[in-house]
Amino acid sequence: MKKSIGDNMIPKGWTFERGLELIKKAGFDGIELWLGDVPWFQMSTTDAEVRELRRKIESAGLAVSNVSTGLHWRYALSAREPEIRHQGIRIVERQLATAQLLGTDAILVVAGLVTEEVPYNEVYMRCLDTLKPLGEAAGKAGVRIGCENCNAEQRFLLSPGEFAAFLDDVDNPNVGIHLDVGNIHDTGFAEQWIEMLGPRITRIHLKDVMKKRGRCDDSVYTNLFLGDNNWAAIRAALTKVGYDGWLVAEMERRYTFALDQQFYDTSVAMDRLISGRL
Amino acid sequence: MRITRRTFLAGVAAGLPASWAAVAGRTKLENPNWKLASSSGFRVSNFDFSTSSLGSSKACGLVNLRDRCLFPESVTGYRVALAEAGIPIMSAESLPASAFPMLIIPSAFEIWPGLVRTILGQLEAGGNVLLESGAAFAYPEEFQAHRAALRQGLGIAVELPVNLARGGCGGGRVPYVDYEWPLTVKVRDFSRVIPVDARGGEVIGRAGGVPVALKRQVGRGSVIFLGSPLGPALWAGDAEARRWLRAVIS
Repeated sequence: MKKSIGDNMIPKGWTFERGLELIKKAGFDGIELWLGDVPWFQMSTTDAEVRELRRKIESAGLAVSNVSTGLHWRYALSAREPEIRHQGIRIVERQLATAQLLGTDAILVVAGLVTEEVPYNEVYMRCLDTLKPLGEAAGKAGVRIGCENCNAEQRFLLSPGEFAAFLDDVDNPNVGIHLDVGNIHDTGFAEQWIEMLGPRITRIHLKDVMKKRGRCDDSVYTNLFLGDNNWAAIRAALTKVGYDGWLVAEMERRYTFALDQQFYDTSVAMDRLISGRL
Repeated sequence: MRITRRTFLAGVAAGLPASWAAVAGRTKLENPNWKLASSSGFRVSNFDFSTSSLGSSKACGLVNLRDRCLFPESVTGYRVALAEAGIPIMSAESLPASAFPMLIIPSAFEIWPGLVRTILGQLEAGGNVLLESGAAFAYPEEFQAHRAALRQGLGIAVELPVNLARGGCGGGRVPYVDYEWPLTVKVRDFSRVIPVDARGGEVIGRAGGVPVALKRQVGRGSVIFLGSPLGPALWAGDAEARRWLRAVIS
């Protein structure tokens, strides 16, 4: 397995080059690029500029693990407004195009967003409608779409069985799951998701989760090994399903001081997970 | 960037099932964009017309306005619901020349004079029309044109759209339209609704107490106006919505 971390972890005010240097020095193999979340990689970034990003990444001795985005929280593929949905589709299309330019074969999509206003059954149908053609486009691009399980925030596809049934309905091998083992909270167990969805996993986001929250405004997420995920079970499940792809650190909670130290600590923790010394 | 509704929907319409195109070119509705004719005849890229029959005496026409319909899923919703109710699709050529009991126009946001004439023709001949508005999501200038067409063509007065998601139509946020005719059902609202002037006919549906659906006698028939799209609920499998539609048709 290879280790990656998001470019949105690069401390604010740092240049992309400085961030790459830190990521490499901390021992990562690659970087996850977040379309729309960082100044150097926006919807307006040209193909030539994307190629230049790739050149810088490879010059730093890294590879691109995948292309992610947080834009779908604003431009949901399941939105009722056709124009918002259309923009959501354009974002996925741009992710596919830039993934090709960056030499990676996976993108992350937050497929549907259940809200008080837009109910689950509609979200389900709209996601199917949009992902079927996007899956075709992904196949042509040689890229897989990983729909992330953002269980608590998305309120959609809350169990591994539901997710599997949804992927059955999409019925396209180019559409799978970008599994976030920290997003499952108190509705299940990451190792069971891994077992049930094994070959459909495109990438894995790593973070830990506190199942017993403190004060209501506390973050439920924490650094690896500090939360309630059963990492030994997760490691065993990865072995069982034969997952040998990218592990991507997504640390929601950031260090307050010594910001670069989080990169080193996370990288070492990922080494321990990969080696199974838990 | 603000894309035009037509630009966006043209792309969406391209993805609609081919079965819709199969019956294209048979309606005589007057469409100003109709002149997209190829050398072999009409090439209807923005308008489809399908018909359904309930037994031999009950028939429905389902009009797909394509780029003048805001929500393609609404058209699909009606089509699926009609099919599930056991109403077979007939080709338009099989239709009797006279009016049929129900003409369904899903998610309309642009209503042009030719469409109004067709609706009025159906009504005068004793047919009924279910006109679902999608204009709550239209741009302001599109909505104003929609509003004027409803008032001038069909005598239906509507208010500016209300965004229910932002607390419109009363204090509490109960996300349902309560239909009162032909049976009492609750169907999810569609985020924004168009209130109707209750003086224009019989109120048949309300969101938070505000009239949003109306039945109006015109000629020998009735026009049913829906200010909150029902088609997406049909499409998403809402059993109450489907029951309501079956009751309206029967």
